[in-house]
Amino acid sequence: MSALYQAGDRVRVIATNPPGHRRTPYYIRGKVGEVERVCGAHPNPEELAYGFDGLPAKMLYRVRFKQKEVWDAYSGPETDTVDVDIYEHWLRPA
Amino acid sequence: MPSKEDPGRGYHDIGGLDAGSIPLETTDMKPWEKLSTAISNALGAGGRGYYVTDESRRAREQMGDPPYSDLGYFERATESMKMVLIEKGLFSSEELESRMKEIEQRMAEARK
Repeated sequence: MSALYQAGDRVRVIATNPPGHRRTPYYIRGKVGEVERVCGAHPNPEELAYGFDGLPAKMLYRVRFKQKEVWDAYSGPETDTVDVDIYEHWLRPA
Repeated sequence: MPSKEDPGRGYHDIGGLDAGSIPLETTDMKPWEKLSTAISNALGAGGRGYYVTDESRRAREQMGDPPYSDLGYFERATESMKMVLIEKGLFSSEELESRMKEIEQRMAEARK
């Protein structure tokens, strides 16, 4: 399967809070970041969590966010970032 | 399960919340913690393959809070493994209870 996004692409994490086992941390939902690398396709843990085989595999990305844009009260340097591994179905172009 | 403060956030999903101070002392693993980890390795994806890590993570998120926040790391791991194995039909909670009572009695006898 081919990756929808490539390193350098700006992406927004969808802001949704569905029930069930979800692998995108709450604090990063709705935030905009930049794809740092494509991590490849992996069986979907959100399906594996319920005893299914997690197929078709989902593309996983390492997305880099500016700390200042993640945390309202962040007082560290402008250059500080946080990397979060996020599956493709949680991302939209930004 | 959502918290009252933030209905969309699961009780396990605490990234960014104030968790207080971090205890810096290190402690050795207790024998039961080692045993529980060994059992989970033997039954999980790297062993017999009865369940995968994602299922036991989901069980942690499903057990409710309490007990989640009151349990330590190995207690959560053991409780979630138990939940998944019961779900898979490897044993029933009644079987587990009666076996635990049996062992408790045997150990009490041994201490006499």
